[in-house]
Amino acid sequence: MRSLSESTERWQQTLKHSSSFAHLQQAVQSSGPESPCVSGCRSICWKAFLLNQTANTANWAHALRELRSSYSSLRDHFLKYIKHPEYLNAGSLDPLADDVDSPWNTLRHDQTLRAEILQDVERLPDVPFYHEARIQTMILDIIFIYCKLNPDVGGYRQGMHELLAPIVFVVEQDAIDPAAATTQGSTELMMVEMLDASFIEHDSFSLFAKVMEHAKGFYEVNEGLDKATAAVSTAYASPSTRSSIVEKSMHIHEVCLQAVDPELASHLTSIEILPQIFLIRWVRLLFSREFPFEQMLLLWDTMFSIDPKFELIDLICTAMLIRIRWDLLEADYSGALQLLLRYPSPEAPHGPHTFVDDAIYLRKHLNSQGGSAMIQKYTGRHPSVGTAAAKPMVTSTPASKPRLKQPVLRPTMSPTRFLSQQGSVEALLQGAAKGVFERSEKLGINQAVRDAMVEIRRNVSEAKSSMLANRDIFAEHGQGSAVQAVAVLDERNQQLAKVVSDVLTTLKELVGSDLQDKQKCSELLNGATARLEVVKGFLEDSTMALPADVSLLLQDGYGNDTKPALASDNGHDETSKPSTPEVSATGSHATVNGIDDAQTGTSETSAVEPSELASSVLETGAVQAATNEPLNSGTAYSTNNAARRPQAPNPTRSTIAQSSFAWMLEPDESAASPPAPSSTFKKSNATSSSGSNHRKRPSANASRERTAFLFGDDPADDAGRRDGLPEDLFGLKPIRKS
Amino acid sequence: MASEDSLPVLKILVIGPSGAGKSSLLLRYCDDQFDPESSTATIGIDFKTKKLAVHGKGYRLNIFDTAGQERYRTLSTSYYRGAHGVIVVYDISNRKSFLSLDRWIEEARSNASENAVIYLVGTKLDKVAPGGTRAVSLEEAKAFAASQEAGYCEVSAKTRTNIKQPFVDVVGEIVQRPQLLSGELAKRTASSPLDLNAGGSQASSSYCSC
Repeated sequence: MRSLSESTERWQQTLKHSSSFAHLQQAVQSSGPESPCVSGCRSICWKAFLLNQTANTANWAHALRELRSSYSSLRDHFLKYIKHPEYLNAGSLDPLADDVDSPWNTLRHDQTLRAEILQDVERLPDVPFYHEARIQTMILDIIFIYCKLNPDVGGYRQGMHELLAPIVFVVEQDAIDPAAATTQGSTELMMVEMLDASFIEHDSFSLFAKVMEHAKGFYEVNEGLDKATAAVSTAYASPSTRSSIVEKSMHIHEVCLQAVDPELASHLTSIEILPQIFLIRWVRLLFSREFPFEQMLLLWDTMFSIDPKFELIDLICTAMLIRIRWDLLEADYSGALQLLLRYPSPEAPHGPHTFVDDAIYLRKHLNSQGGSAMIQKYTGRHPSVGTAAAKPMVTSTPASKPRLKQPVLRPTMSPTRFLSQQGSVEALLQGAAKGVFERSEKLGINQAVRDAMVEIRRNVSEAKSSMLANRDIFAEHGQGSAVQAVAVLDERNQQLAKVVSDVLTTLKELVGSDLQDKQKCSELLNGATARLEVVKGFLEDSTMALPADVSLLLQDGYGNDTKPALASDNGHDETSKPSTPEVSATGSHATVNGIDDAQTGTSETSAVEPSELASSVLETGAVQAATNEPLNSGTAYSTNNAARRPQAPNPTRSTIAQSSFAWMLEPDESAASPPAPSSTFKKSNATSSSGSNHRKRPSANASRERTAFLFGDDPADDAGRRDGLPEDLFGLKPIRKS
Repeated sequence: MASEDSLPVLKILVIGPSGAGKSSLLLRYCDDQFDPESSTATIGIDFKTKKLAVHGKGYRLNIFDTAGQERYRTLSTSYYRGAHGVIVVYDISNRKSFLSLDRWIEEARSNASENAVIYLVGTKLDKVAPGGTRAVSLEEAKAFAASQEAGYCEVSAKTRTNIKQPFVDVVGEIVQRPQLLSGELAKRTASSPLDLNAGGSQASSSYCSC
């Protein structure tokens, strides 16, 4: 325990930074020697961040008093018979009674639980403090009470003890004995109260419970299914039957890492690393095993101060992965696992706490530009941007590593360049669609316009898959022909963009009109959707030549001439489309809900404010050192010309289905028809994946199966993400006929 | 690197109840270390790799150490996929850990490929011998292993007793099972096909009889 004078000194140091909450956050984030967590009282800062969310010192003590008293009652309640078994004997209860609620029975269960916890507490990491008897008892009691209080967590889960132990350490370190303290001023009075050694256990519990409030998802397990079902169905299980940590791991790998460093993501896939193997420990322990103790405390300081809900954790993992990306890229399976499970200690001044800064940066720049800026910053090297020659490693893998099941899983041939194209098309469509949505919202024609936007969204994502499929084609040709192909695709994109922007103009006009003429409205809408269908057709199959004069499409609102040919060309299963507009509305509802369900993780962790959409596009562009051209709205439309500026790909998003913009298309929660869709969605999903999609895009399917196999979990999930957009439910056909 | 890469890779999982000594077994076998004070609970999965020669042929073992509390639910079948052998570990000084073996073996059988080798290891031999109190007799453990058609061996990570035996036995048995190797392993070692018959006949009798 510190001397009183040192405690006072530290207390003053802490208060110095607590003029405002933001000030305190900032001071902690510096993580230097002057951080109040280092020079002041770390426990006070943690309490402020986790328990109070305010710098108002008067509130601190007040809140703490309440928490302490509630823990005291919990303790009395749950530990009554554990600490005083004699009370049970004193009663008249039969120890052998068959009553499940008998206190004797409860006690026996409690003792089993405590034995399970104790087994791990006794083997906490090698910090002498953790092995003091009184500390071990304290840790045991706290976890026990937490488990009793939160039965939904499913009892004690290994790892909780290593979240709690550092908290107890920090609180104990700052504690002062109230008897030894001579109280003089009110500040000292408050200090003694805040740091009172008799409440170490109480305060540790409150902090731990708060941490667990957001970390308990990392510990969830789904034990609900019986074993037989699980054994048979795991390979095709829906995401909900897998534990959330596995979901999270896949999200980190396939969404976050894929977005910022597609090359590394593909490499990890190709060497068959299951992300949960290392991420379970990283995430569950909040990285406490990955770094030396002192560094870990600095990391926690930063996490608690700016991310107490652990929403950034996916991106922190991503930042950690790309920091060692060069080593990972050269490693084989076992080499990579060794690296990931024994993470190389980052050196000052880029200690572990800087991963939080990285995560904040990546949240705003969740694309390969953001990723390469990060890589450049820490390693001084740029990832090869879309050049096959510069990074032959992965493509040559099949020869050197026979264990690969599929020689070229995701050819690294120009991935960035292709992504950049998709990115700009997506950004264009999303930006425009958002505007229409906002305006139409006011005018109450949400549903109709929403249908149109869901359509746009689907088209883009299909365009993406078809481009993915096309990559294989390009991979076989040399560099030169790939560039050519890209240029041709660019040309195509621009022409299609013209059509889309024309449609959008129509929609905007529609929104602007007073909507009195329903007949005319629906005509215009029909025209718009029909044209989008045509664009969709072209986006789906990039080998299909555009009509010589695209302006035909602009003039002919219905696109009747091209449409039938398209439909047969793409093997559309016309019959499976529902025939009433009402169903179509439900369908799009279902689509949106489905997407949303699958993507909740993304939107939580990487949500970009709507107003930031445009600006983040600009910002990320600016990050690219090679980009000297000013980006404005004009170039935003034309920057997908990769041939013109091959070194500066546009801000990208790995796929639209993985983007954080899903919410934009989400219908009002309060809208009229919410509940029914889930079953509709499943059904349509089944139809579309077993039906038209299979015939339509065999190559995309093949790649999906490969991926699923390598990830080893379930193609169903992939299907949900990529093909989960039930086009069959999209009732455009009947409208067009009218 | 090149020579290591050419070794056939065998995937071995180590499972069993919490605190049985799985990590200690691996730490001793792979790194020849033992630390009675700091054997922290494994969180999720750990991974070690070790080269081993059986019947004059080299193998590279990728050994996965699983947290005792971790169930297949978290790890899913993908984790068991391609496993050639599963070593189920229990603590011979702890009756309860022995009694949980049914569940662990069932889990291994329902998740690993049907030909995967399952092997039973009793740990903490130093605690019960000589004269210490065993919670499970050698006869009982052997009978149980036999009923499960699994090999059996008792080890001490502290004293190194038999520490290599389980791995030698498991690999010896794996190379006896062409079905197991023809699938996963053959693909992985396409460049250096494994001679399935090499030294085969002796391997079956090499189960430890301690």
